[in-house]
Amino acid sequence: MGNRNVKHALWGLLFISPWVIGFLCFQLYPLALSLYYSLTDSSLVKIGEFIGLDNYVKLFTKDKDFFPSMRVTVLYTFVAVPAKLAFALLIAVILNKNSRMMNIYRTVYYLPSILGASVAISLLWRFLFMNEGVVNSLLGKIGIPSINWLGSPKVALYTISLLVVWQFGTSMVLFLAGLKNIPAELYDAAKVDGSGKLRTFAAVTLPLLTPIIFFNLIMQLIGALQEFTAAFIVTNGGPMKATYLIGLKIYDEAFMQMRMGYASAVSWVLFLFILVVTLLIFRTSRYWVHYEDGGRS
Amino acid sequence: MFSKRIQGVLVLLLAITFMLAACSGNNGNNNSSTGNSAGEKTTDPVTIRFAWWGSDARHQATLEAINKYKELNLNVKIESEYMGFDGYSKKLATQFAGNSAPDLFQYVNAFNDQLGDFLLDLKTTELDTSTFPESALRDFATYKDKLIFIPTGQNAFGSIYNEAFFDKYGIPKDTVWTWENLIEVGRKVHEQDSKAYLLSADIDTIEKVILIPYITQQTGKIWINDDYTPNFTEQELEGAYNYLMQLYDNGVLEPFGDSTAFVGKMDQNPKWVKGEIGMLFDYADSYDKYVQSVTDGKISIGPFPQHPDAKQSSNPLSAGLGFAINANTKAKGETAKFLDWLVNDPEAAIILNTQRGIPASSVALKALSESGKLQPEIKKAIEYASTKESLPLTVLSDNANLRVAHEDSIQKVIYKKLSTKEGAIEALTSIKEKLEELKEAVQ
Repeated sequence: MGNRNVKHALWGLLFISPWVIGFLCFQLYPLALSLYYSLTDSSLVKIGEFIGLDNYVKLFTKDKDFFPSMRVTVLYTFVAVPAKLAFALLIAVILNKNSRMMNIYRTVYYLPSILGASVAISLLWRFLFMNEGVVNSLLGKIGIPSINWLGSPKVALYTISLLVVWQFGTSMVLFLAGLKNIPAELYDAAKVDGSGKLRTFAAVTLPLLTPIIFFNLIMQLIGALQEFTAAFIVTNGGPMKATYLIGLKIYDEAFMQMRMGYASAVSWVLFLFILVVTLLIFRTSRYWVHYEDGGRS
Repeated sequence: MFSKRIQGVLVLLLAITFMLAACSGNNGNNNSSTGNSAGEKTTDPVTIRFAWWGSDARHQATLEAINKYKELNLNVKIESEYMGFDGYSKKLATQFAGNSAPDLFQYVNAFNDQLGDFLLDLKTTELDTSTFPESALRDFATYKDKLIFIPTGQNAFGSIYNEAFFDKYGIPKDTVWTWENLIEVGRKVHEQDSKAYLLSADIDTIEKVILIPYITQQTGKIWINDDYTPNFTEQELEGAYNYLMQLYDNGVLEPFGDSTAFVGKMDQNPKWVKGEIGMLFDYADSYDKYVQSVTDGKISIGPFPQHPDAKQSSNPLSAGLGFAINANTKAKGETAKFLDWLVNDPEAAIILNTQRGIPASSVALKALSESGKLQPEIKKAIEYASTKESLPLTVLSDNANLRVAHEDSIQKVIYKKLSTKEGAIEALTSIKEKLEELKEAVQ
């Protein structure tokens, strides 16, 4: 390597060093530390002794909450992610029209995602869906009896799923970008062949959107499996642990029971679970994700 | 491959990064010096961080007291950190772990397990403890032979009721509540108006203020023994669960699914705010937040329910709430001086009133009584409780982990996933398991 190249490399390193330092300090170091803590009986205020895999053994053999909590988390993911993606796609298709007002519509539809699953929005959700809340009052006006949105173990999980579906904006924007990229000539060809709107959507739009669907699916899945705020603020895991997501369990172990070592172990198990699920979806992608260049690039 | 120079730069970058990471590390054990009052000059500027939880009324009173103290001590700056109870203990524990805990903070002895070791022994300060009942200091504020906090006041459970509701349904305000007449009166109320309930309770209140007293009033024993064994039987639990289900079946208690969104925030429950709920059980010092939540209607405090042949009231005068000082404070002397003023000064007593119960300090109580400003409703609740004999509330009986374990089974019974008998079996097993864990943790 010549002097010039070395100089270039040094400049490059200098420029990326803030990121590298940030990554090492705030990601890699805490990650390694949490792996170590998961092998100890640390509390929130004290580093404990090394106990090997005891936390993991206890998690799988003695913890009565772990498997139900994982079950609830998976169920929540199964409900929230497809619902959110379907809704985001529907809105994207509607907004993929040329109209003067379209930019305003797109901004308005994206707004809930900017607000995010914040504490304020979660509180708002609680007041909307509580027994005497706005939703039940509106339902009452059209003659539908009140639904116990937050107090019924059978319904509460779906109510907090709705909160996530409501934040469909990011997926919608990606779908919109994908829709814009579909060549107009394909639609023209479909039209010439006499294909109806639904058939065109199924045969042209959907296959060409599969890379975006794939990306959105992975991102939303990872997010949903780690969901915390909605369940914590709106239902606090209840009623009867119907919304006790694994993120909430980790929080409880760490900050309610003060068992930081154990909470770290649960976090690592969740991490491995997400890794496996993600890899599985990647594996299946070759059967359903369609790239125009055949996936070569 | 990289040249040696590049490799050198990489190694250097990594070294810098790890140095930074190591600097940020905290071993979680706060072993630094505990400060020294001897070296402090009272006129030097000093900053005290003071944290507490509570309702708006408590915040206002405390801020007013702080301002008064700052007027009297111009060199002292007090930074206030206040919030609701939700998340307070977690924040405090995290602050201790990060070595950034406040100097002075509101404390309750249920935190002893986690935080007891991080608190200053107040016997080593110049705080005047002679004004406090010795029994209160011994029974509530001592941990491992150290005086870890100073009780702010005496407190007890009461039935906080809406007078307009009682008038509407013809309930005499001087009703002496028993667990039995609670059902009779509550059923009649609900029969008259299907939207109205005599009582509402969240899961914490159900566990701590209904089920446990229901059992311990009959047994005359404390809930959990100091040797980590439960002091009740499966049959006693089953009986209490049967009683709880009667409360629901007769429309005495607001349905659990409706009240569950308001755990610890029953003052925000729309039915309470609208006057469709007559009564709530809570600590007397929460009185103000309930008064503020109901705009039309007078709120009063009545006695706590009891079996006619109860062996004890299960509503002891509690002095478990107080103020503690961080063992690592750099302003030990000034913080203790401020704390002394807060709990022992007549002027402070009048400002703080009964926001943290009836003052435990004799000086503060005298000043408040003489001022004529002693909140009569809270005084009434304390008097009700003090006339009945009760065993003191032990820290283990009030353990949060045990409560969580118990509440799981209670909810399964309420939602009819378990019969009352099955629920009692499951609850006793879970509580025993938790007790074993707690016992192992201290050994």
